[in-house]
Formats: sequence, structure tokens, C-alpha cells
Amino acid sequence: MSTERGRIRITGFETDHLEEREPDTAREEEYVEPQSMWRRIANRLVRDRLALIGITVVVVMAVTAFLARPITVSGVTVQPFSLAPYDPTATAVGGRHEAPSLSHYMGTDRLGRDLFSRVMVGGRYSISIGLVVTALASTFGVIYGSVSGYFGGWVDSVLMRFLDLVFAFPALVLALILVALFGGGFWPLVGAFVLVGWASYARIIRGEILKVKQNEYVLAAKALGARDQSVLFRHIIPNAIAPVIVQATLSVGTVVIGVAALGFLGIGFDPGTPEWGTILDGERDTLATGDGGSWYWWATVFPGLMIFLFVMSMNMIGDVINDALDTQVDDIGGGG
Amino acid sequence: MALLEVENLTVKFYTSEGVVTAVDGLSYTIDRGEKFGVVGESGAGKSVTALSLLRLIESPGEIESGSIRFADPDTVTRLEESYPGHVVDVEDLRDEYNREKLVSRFEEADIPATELTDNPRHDDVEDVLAAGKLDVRDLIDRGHATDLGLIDEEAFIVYDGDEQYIDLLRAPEEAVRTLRGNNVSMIFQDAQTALNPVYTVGEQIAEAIRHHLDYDDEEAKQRAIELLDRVGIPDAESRYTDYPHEFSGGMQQRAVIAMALSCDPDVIIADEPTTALDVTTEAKILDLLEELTDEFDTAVQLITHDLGVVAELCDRVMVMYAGQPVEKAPVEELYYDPKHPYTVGLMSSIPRIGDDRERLQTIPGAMPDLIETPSGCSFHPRCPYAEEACKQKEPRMVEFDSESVDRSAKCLEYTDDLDEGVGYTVTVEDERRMNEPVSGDQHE
Amino acid sequence: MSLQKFILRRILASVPVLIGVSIITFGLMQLAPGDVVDHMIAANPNVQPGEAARLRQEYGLHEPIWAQYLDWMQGVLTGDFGEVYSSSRDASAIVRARLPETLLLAAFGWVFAILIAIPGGIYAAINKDQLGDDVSRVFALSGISIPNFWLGLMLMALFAVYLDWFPTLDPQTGLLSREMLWWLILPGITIGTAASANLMRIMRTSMAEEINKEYVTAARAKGLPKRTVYLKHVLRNSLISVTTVAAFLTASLVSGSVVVEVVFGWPGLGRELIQAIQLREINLILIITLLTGVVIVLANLLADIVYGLLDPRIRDEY
Repeated sequence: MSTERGRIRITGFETDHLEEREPDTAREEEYVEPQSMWRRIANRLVRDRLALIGITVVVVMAVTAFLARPITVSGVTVQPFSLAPYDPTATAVGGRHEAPSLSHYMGTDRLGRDLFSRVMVGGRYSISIGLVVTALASTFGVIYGSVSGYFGGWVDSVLMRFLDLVFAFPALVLALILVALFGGGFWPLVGAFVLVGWASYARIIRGEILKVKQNEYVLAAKALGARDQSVLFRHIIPNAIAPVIVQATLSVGTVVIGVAALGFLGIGFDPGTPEWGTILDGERDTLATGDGGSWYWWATVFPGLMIFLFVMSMNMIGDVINDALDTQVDDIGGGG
Repeated sequence: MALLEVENLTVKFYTSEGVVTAVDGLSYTIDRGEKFGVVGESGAGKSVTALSLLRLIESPGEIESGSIRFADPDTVTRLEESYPGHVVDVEDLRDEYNREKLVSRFEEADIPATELTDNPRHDDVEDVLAAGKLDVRDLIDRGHATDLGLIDEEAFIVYDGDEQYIDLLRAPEEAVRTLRGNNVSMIFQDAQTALNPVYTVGEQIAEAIRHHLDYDDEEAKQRAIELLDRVGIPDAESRYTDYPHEFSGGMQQRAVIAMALSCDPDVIIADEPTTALDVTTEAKILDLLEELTDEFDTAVQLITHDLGVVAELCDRVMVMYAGQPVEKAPVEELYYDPKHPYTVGLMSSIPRIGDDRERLQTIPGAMPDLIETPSGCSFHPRCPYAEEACKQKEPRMVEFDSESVDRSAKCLEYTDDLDEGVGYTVTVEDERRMNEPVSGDQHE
Repeated sequence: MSLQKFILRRILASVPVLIGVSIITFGLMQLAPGDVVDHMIAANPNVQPGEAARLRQEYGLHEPIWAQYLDWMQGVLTGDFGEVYSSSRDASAIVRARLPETLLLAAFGWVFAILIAIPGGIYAAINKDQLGDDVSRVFALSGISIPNFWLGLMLMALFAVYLDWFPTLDPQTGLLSREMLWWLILPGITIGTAASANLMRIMRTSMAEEINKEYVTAARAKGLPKRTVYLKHVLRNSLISVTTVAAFLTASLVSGSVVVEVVFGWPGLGRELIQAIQLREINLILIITLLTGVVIVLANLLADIVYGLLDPRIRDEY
């Protein structure tokens, strides 16, 4: 080693020829494209057992609800199948409060109607309202929250103040009052729940947008001259949408329970409608009379059980989606 | 014996994508008061090394094999008091087990001698022992003593004549905990995340003091304030009750240094302490670190990717690549006489004013995936001097007989396996005459 | 900023929200088709349609809305919540009688939820991905999926009717009497289950996230025992997100109490609300709705304050 001291220069480390060298076949590096969000979700859903169970249950329930009884739209029979063994509205097809048997899988209710058929058809109300409400509420909420988060400033302040007000009310109570005052039925229920439900989405997306806004690709897009709208929809929202999706799956359950709760309180649908909560309302008094032996358990257990199964399945799916989107670093990728 | 000795450390992470060998056969030593640099790109295994020293590797990571020995007499005495039944006296063992007994033990346990010396030529236990290549002490250090039934699995305090040390990998968790923050402490890369945001900075410093040194609240607070002052934080007393987010980046790093120094450690592991700081602050922090560690005679293991930092602060350096050490040298020798092509590559990538090359020099390619390391020498895909032999044969760490301690490099060039050799030149330029090389060293 | 200033500012910020709540509540009632007079005419055969105008005059319903609003607010702030027409009682009396019952129920639910959720969540986070964690996750998932009215019915059927451990009817002894407290247990558990399930999930997620942070490694590198690291360093940071959710859960507790009170016949404001709705008792509906809004705003305020206590960074942001 030289004993001189001073500035060091290295020559002879020529790397040009390295690029021409053929790749080492012993280890071929495949470029694995990072999976898109949807891919990751689909992946997880398929692999996780709980999610699979959840999806199966939901699909089975939705399909049976759809095929339970014929559906006609303006005189055209859209759905001809009739999986339900009896007409859900027909009374006295069996004795009153018959226990579950082979002819009546879930027994009969207090008017002798077949409970199994009623429960099957009842799925229509819950499932459809759940999905419709979630779709509408999330759409509106996302737009509201996006505008608020993206533009910031006084727009954000005003919009958020209003949001705070909405949050000050308990959702179910408000929905209850709205339906009670303005009338029940499918669309009023949808309207009420959308009205009390959109706020969560708005808050979530706004939070995400505030985070994402800082990111540099947004600044880059703007620097390249993209219009606000385009920046918002093409860059920001796709990246901020993940928690909204999770919230949506979890919300379907909340809405279903909410609608059933209103039905249980006798508000929402006409008595006699085979909506799960309304059925429970009708059968509620059997509890008090039942004493040891004569409790007609099937009348209260099955409708509620349906609600539980559906919501639980939706929540399992939601949970897995949450994990899929949340995955930061589970494993250590290398040393470092 | 050095203060800290790491021998043949291997750490693996069992992930769903495969087994990552983060550290592979790492050996180095640090003397008391010495500044030891660990250099490498990201992904080379430097931080894992640091965490292993403190035994903070958590699942899915595991320390597979190796030995970490800490030889501070006070610590040994202290632990002996708490763990009296866990002591091994090597001299006694040597008396007890003569060569025959050792050989029979070997046969019983069915361990080949090659495993012990890493040299394929040593295949007969008896010869190895006769030649003096293997001693009871080595057996203990490499972990075979327990297999052979020589010592208890829990015996981690070792005495051998004048030497005494703790075997960190065999010590129980409570014992190791008494060392963490006390004898061996760590400075983290990102001071912001290393500090708990909900507690005051002062409290986080005092915490360790109370825990290890058994001070009461008031004493610990006083000492913490002194430390804050010593690391250059103005108005230390009122700063004691401030929260981390109320400190600037440089001050946070100073606070973290204060935290590391709080119990007067024997070794500080500094994991990229200045990477997150701007250049001016970086210079000040490095000065501070040097000053304090000189004053208290604290050894430092400085982990960094910045060769400039190493040049300024370190006495000896180890270069790591893909989880393995590839070169070890005293700092001057590393710069003026690098032996390993990777080191050469690192040096040549530093841009110089007056350089007439058109493009920035880099080492093409990237650090390999540690799950499937390249065959043979892990650097060969990126090495301009690589030959066929390099793909097939893994080089071993070759020690150079020089006046300096621990000068070694891991390249087939030094076991005479290369045909064409490595063709780089190190020129030292006199400050006054920029464009004329004064003298040079040719490596062919 | 000091803690006191922070608290003061949060309190002041709540006031406009409270006012907004009152306005919205009042406005909502006005939008409903028909008013109390219409209802009286429809329900009560003694009241003739021709009397509508006179009745409206008497009840002040002919005044402009903002005047009615101010009138009402004035009453509310002085404790006069209006009259309950159908039973000729004073709304204030009803509220005074029923509010404590509901508060008691909600409080029980709250305490139950916290006692289960926090230790449960901590346990699950520390044992992440092992059996204990999986079990608690399934429990938590079931807890939030079960409709509370159904749970109430099932609990009542099993424990009150079949096993006869609890009464099914109001013992009608004093509010804090042993019989009432015993009766409180089933509805309390019913209302607390969903909240505890939610809280437990948040606690687990929050803590699991925190455990991966660098300050935890730094704390361990200082030689602190795991127990201290978890309970002193990690827990406090984890509780931060839990607090925000906890406040939000108050809303669901309030909603839940409405349904649960009906199921069990618990004599609280929730049950009153349902009856008031059926009878179109505007004043009662108004005041109960306003109260729910107030409770939620207060709960959020409390959560903000606790958040400020836990996280010093927040105090400077506001």
C-alpha cells in the first residue's frame, strides 16, 4: 500500500462489459408486477376459508331469496321459479304454531303460515335494501367527502361542520323518526337509511384524501396541467377508495339490522310483510306466554338467525377485504 | 480478548416467500473504546446484525447459529451474582477432559471435525486436537459443548484464566435485558419514530436510568437533564418536559444519543445515525458522537452506507454484501488499499471534481434477493473481474498477514483461484498536483 | 397549548353544534306531514274537524316557524318541554322520570363493553395470529353481527323465561334498588354486546399496529421488560384510536337502547319515544330527539378531551 496520503482515485473498475454478459441462469429474476388492489382482494377472498364461507352464504341466501317466488314486472314474468314450498302469505297451510317438521322446515307461525317460505321471501327485503342503501349512500358520501377534502379551505370547513351535525344524531333513531313520520315501505326506508348513512363515507374519504393530497404524484399531475376534476377522479379517488370499500361491506350488515329493527318495532313495513324483523314483531308476544314447554321457539329463533347469518357473512367478507387492503409488511423482505 | 466478539453469526427469516438469509457466517470483533464501522448498501443485513447483538430478533426471524461474546469484567461479575449456577470454568474443563475423553465424546455425539474448524482438510478429530487446532474453549464458543455434554445448556458465564465473558446467545432473556440499554445500547436511524410521541423526552431518558441504575425519580431526572445538556440541547431543564414533536430533527437525534448514553454503556450501536439529517447537522452529530465516546471510552459500532462518515469516525471497518462480510480492514487500509472488488466498486462510484468520465460510475445491478442468493460468490453477477470459478466456488474469508489486526477479504483472488486476477489501480493524488498520479499500486 | 385551554376550546366548539342539532330536530318535525291537531282529529272522536283552526291557535301552531322554534328553545332552556296532549302530562315530568333509567342502562352497557373489550383486545393483539386471537376475532365478529333485539329476545327466553333467573316484568321498585339492578343485567348485556365487540376489534387492530412501531423496539433496546413496554408504551398509543371510536359508539348505544327498552319493557326514554311516535306527540319526540343529540355531542366532547389527555400532539393542532 502506498504510503502517500491525499485524494484517492480508482481506475480499472470497468463495468461496461457487465451489461453485455448473459444473465446468470442460476437465478432468473422475474419481474413480478405489483398486483392491483382488486387482484389482491380477489386473491385473499379466495384463499381465506372464512371469506369463502361468507361468500357462499351470501350468494346462497341472495339466490334463494330471488328464486323464492315468481317476480313479475309490468305483467312480464321475470322470474318464474318458486323455491318456497308454500305461498308465504297463505294462512292456515298448517296448524298454528306447529313445530318444525318435514312438511314445514321451520314450523308455522301464529296464523298457520309456513315460516320457511316466509323467511325465504323475507330475504328479499333485507338484502335488497342493504345493497341499494349502501350503493347510494356510498356514492353520495364519496362525492361529498371528495369535494370537501380536495378543495379544502372554507369549502371544507363548511361541509365538515354540516357533517358534524349529521353525526350528532344516532342513525337508527333518526331513521326511525323519519320513517315514522313520513311513512314506511321500501323506498321510504331506503331514503331514510341513505340519509343517515352517507356521512360515514364522506368522513372516511375526506380523511384519505387529505392524506393522499400530500403525495407527490398529485402535485406531479397538477404540474403537468391536469384539471382538478381529472386529478380528483383519476389519481386521488382510486387510491383513497380502499377504506370506503371496507366500510361499505360492513355497512350492508348495519343497514340490514337497522331495517329489521324498525320492522321489529312495527315501523317500516305493514304487519304481515314477511320481512325478517316484521315477522319477529308479529311473533314477539309468544315469548311471554311460553312457559317451559310451550315456547314456540322456532317463530323467534329462525327469522333472527337469518339476519345473524347474513350479516355475519357480510362482515366476514368485509374483514378479509380489510386485511387484503391493509397488508403493509407482513414479512421481512430482506436484511437491511 | 476483545470487548465484543461475534463469531459465525447466521440469522434467517422464515417468510411466506421463502427463507431469507439476512446474515450469513458473520464474524468480527470490537475492542474497548474502538470505533468500528459496518458498511453496505440497504438490504445487506447491517441492521439485523445490530438487533442480533441485543437479541431483539423476533419471529419470523431466528438466530440460527453463531456466538456472541461480551467480555466486560464488571458485567460478568454482576451476572455471576444473579446466576451463580450458570458459570463455566474452562481451565477446569480442560483438566477434566483430556484428549481421549474428548474424542470418545465426539464419537458418541457423531459430530465430524470439519464442522468445527470450517476447514475441509480437518477430518479426523484426533489429529485436529493433537495439532492444537481445537480447544475446549472453541467447543464452548461454537455451541458444541452442550451437544457433547461438556457443559450445561444454561451455562453462559465463562471464565478462562484471565479472560471472562458472557455468551449472549445462551443467556436467559432476563440476563440479556440487564445488558440492553445498560452495557450495550442503540441509536436508531429515525429519531422521530424511535421516540414515543406520548411521553416527554426527559421521561424516556430517565426511564432507562431508573430501571438499570436504580436511581429514584429525582436523581434520574437530574441525570437526564445533565445528559441533555451534554449532548448540546440548550435549556435542558425546561426541555426535559417537552414532547418529541416539539424538538427539531437534529435535536431529536441528540436526545436519542442522550438516551443511548444514559447508563454509560460499553458499546453503542449506531444504526445510520445521521442518514435522516441534513449535511450540516450530520457533521455536528458526528462530532458530538466522537467527542462523547472518546470521553467515556465507549466502543461504537457504526452502521452506515456512507463512506464519508466511516472515514471520519471509524478506526476499523467491515464491508458487508448480501448478508456476508466481504472485507475487513483498518480504515486507512480500506481506502488506500481495498482488496475486495465490491469495496473497489464503492470507492470508484464516489464522484470526484476533475473526473473526466462522462457518466457516473455505478455498480450495475442490485443487491441480490436474500432468499435465493447467487451461486458461488454472491457478488459475481456484478463483478467486472468475475470468472467461471466465481460462479461455482464460494470464496472464503482470507486473512492477510499484515501488521494490522484482522485484515481480510473474501475473494477467490486471494486463494489463487482466479486466472486473470483483479485489474484495478488505486492512485493517490497529491493535493497540489491534481492531474498527475504520484504513485500507484497495481493489482494484477 | 395547555390542557385547560384545549378543553375550553373544545367545549366552545360544541356549542354551535348543539344549536345546529336543535334547529335540525325542530325543522325535521315541521316537515312531517300532518301535525298534532290532524292526529287528534283522526284519533279522538270528540274532536271535530271544524275545531282545527281554534286548536291550532291555542297551541300556537299558527305562528311562523322561527317564532315557534324560539318559543320552544326558550322552553327547553328553562326546563319546560311542552305538553303531552294525549295524556295531558308535562313532557318535562316524563323526561325527568325516564331519563335516569335510560342513562343507567346505557352506563351499564358502556362499562360492560369496556371491561370486556380492552383486556380482550390487548390479549388478542399480543397473541396475534395464534389461537387466542382467532377465537376473540370470531367472538367479536359475531358480536357485531347479531341483531340486538334478537339477542335480547333470546336472552330473555333462555334466562328469564326458561331458567327463570331474571324477572320479565318491571319490579317497579326504586331505580337503584336491588331488584331493578338485577333486572338491568339482561338488557344491559344485550346493549353492551355490540359495543364491546366493536371496541375489541378496534383495540386489537390499534394495538397490533402500534406494536410494530420503532419506538417499541427502542423501548425494548433500553432493556425494559415486555410488560412495561406493552402496558406503558404501547397501550397509551393504542387507546388513542379507541377513544374516537368509543365516542362514536355512544350513538349506537343510544339507538340500541330504544330497541332494547322495547324488548325488555325497560321504562326508559327509548320506550317513551316509540310510544310518542305512535301517538304523534310532537313535543315528546322533539325533546327526546334533542336529548339524544345532546348526549352524543357530549360524548364526543368527552372523547376529545380524553384524546387530548392521551396524545400531547393533538393539543397543539387545535
